[in-house]
Amino acid sequence: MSNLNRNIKILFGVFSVLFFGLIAYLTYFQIYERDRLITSSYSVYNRRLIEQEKKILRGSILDRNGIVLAKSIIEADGSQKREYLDGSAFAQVIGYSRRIYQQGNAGIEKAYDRELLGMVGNDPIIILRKLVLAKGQVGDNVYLTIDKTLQDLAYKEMEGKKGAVVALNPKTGEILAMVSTPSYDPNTLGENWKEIMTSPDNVVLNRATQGLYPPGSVFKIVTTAAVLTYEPELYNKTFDCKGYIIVDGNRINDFGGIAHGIEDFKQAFYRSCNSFFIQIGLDLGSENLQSMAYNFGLDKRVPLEIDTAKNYFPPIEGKVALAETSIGQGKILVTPLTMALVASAVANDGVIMKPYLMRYVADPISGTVIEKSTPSQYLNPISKKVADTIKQLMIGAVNDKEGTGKAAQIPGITVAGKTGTAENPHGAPHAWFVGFAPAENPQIVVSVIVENGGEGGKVAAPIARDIIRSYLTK
Amino acid sequence: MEEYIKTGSKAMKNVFWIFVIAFLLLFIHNKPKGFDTIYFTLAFPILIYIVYYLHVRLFPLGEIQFIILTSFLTEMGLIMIYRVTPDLLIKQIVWIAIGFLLYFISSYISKYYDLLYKLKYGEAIYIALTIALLGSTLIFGREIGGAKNWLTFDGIYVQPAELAKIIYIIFLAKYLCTRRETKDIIILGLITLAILGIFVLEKDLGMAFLFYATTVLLIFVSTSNLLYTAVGIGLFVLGGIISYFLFWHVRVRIEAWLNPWMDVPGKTYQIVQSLFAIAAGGFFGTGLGMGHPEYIPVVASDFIFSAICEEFGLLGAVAIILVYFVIMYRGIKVALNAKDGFGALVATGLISMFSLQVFTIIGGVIKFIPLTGVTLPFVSYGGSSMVMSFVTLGMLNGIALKEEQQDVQFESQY
Amino acid sequence: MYYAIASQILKYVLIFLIYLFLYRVFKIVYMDIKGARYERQITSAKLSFLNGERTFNLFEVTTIGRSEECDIVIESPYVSARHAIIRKRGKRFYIQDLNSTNGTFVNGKRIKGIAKIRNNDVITLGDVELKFIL
Repeated sequence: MSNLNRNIKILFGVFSVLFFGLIAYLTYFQIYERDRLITSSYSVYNRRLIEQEKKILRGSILDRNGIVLAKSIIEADGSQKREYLDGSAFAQVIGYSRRIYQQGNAGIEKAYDRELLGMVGNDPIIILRKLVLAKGQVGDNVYLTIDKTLQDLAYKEMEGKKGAVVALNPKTGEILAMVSTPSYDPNTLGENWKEIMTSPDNVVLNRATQGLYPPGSVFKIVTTAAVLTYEPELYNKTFDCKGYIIVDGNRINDFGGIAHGIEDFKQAFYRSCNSFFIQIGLDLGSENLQSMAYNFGLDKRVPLEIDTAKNYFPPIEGKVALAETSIGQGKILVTPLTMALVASAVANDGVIMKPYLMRYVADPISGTVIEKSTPSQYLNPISKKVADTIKQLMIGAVNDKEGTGKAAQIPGITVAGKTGTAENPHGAPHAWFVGFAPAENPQIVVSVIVENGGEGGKVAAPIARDIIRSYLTK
Repeated sequence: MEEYIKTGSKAMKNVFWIFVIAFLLLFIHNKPKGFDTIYFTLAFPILIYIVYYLHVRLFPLGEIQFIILTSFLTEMGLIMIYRVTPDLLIKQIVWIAIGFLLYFISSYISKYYDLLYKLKYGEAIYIALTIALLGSTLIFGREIGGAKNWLTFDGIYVQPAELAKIIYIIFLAKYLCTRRETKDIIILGLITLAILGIFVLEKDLGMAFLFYATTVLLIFVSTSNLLYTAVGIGLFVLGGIISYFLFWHVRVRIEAWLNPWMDVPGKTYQIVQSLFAIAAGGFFGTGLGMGHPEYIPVVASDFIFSAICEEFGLLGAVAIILVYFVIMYRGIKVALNAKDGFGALVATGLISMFSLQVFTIIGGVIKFIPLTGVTLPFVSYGGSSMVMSFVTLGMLNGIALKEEQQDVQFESQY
Repeated sequence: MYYAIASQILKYVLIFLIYLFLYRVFKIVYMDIKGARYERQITSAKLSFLNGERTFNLFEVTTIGRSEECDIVIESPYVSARHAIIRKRGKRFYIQDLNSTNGTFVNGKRIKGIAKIRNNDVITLGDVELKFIL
């Protein structure tokens, strides 16, 4: 028993570790797990939130100019009803809350659920003021970066078509419009839940952030960026286009099989010549091309408040795959938002700003801003010099007499852009257009995709043109 | 010495003001129906003041901190119990009063703890008592909340395991005082296994863990043998794995710990509600009466800590843990200063069992470790646990007083 | 409504009080730890053999006896293992006999329990005579 006292002291050490372990874990829980737990989808089982929700008038969602898009009203029986004032145009972005439709939640309603319930900022002064000033409790209002006028226009342009439009400010990352069609009327979600959720056109899918498409020729921006960054001498190459190219015994045709003859890089870009870019891609090598694609985040999930799909860019294996990839075909799949960001890198001197949808959250009574988004850099895939060169190419693609994107021209405004016509296994090719304007000082980037729409230059470019014109001439 | 007592009195004044503010709020919130509730509530501060001054008078060199800390803990328990289930308040206050009384009685009795050591056939008697108490619930017991560990007499529910804990510790101390050969440890291991068997049949996992862990710790303290300790821990892990596959209720607990989201409306309902409550509290808590701790099942007993987390926040919860830490520290000091090996082992056993119980239930409700249903000493609602926690501290106080008593004897001989 | 406001404000008061309580609890713990060290502090008082052979400094609490554990060790068969203890209380010193076989004497008088000692008092433990010097 000679060591009795020593052993008891060891025991004290053991218990001290256990007790301080409890304190450490509890602190960790409150700092890191707490928010996740409260916002997780499991919180349907949290009666606290449901009780509080019943008492709180859910906050409104407004556009960047303060136009109300969604608001809650109290019914005669005391229950709340959510009204979507511009339902179909905003359906996928705003989404729905499980607090209204118990089955699930999505979009802004999900992302800013706590804000709309007035539960952010455990700032005791704000809570106290709310208790004092408001009769019942009122949730906070969420102001989006979206411009309702632009959104409505985009939705009107897309009506009757399948696809998506994303417009954003390349200098800040603010999303100005985000439309996905076909859409649905969220005001009838309660009655038609099952039909809407299981619709064959997948109307609840936000095609702008979750739709995955082959980028087609729009991807040539990335190929060009790789050339200018890694093998700049290829930029001076000329090539005799025969209307097709044979890679490892496979014949790949140009669009319409037109032979362009001898052309330089610029002409090939304006005309979107596949044979040329396949040859360039083969010279460039899969490593360079892949590396540039990763720089642009084509293998990542774009960070955004609402759900986004992970872009798909598998390692390029073999010559045929390399050839297909250099013109945006093959296995690559990207979202329309991602391609808007690719164009925004060109528009913003090589820097992609992190996209966001919430401008600020404000207390509806006092107007106090509770949360505010600040622009931040997301990626920096290319240098300013490379960006400037590509910008000139994109100006040419719209303004040159041979450019594929002539339909996007606007008198008095220099539009830069790139079309795409993406072959796909589901029928007619998808029509793509990404572009920005004014080229000298870009204010807006637009990415348009029309599923099975045909030629990008004919179908997608005019839609982008109308959106740009409306935004810049308002 | 003067300042020592003064600081203690100031601490008691803090306890009093916490009481005043919390119960003023709760009286507005709950709107008590009868005057009984108010009378009994007012009796509580009077009770703890009487206890405090009696302790200062009767045991000037006793562990006065035990009184200060238990006053605080029982008070926090009362506040939360009155908050979530007002009907239990009066009963709990009565149990606290009985507990304090037993504290004094066991303080006096255990000053003569060497009699427990000298008792002939002591070991056999203690272990027989332990097994009889534990076995009694198997035969006459009632199943409450999934575990068959209650006896009922005329509507009073008793948990014999609470008493068995103390007798078992006396047995362990006596046994380990004299027998530390490998052969003896193996016999002790077999006895422990038999006790664990009873707990497994009763589905009382928490108690099984407490008995087992205390045994392993005491073997380590008395023998300094790391091999025994390692074997003890190894067997615990092995036993855990075997019972995971053998017993449905063990599996449920462990799975709920690993993935609380697998079956929220069913098997993991309790722990998830507990986590929601803790999350709702944040750093400062929702404020008394502003949260919804009543959404947690069995909140007054097993999950009272989650309720404190919700309405007093992280800061309140950490304070509770720190108070238990100080109790543990005082207990260890009693063990270190004990006059003889037997006293040291009894003290070590008592404080180990106590600290392990605190760790088990707090760790369980915050999902730090798998959840097992034991009570939070002094805070949870429940008579057996309350009374026996007081006896535990009373015995520690008695062991601390033993030394002083010897000095007094020397003085009076001349 | 008013209750909510009161509860919101008072929760900070409660947390404050709880931590004030904790502060005092830890202060007591600290005083305890300090107290143990305090006993080992050397005082100005001394104890010396009447023959002037050796002089010992007294602590706040000093034990005297034959055992090695004592603060002052006296090797004499007439002195018990733990013979006596001297404590300082305020400015005064007190000696207590620890049930020794041959007793403790102050100025020739055998003491019962505790006795106060003054400057130049002669303390006899067994066959050893010591002088207390303040």
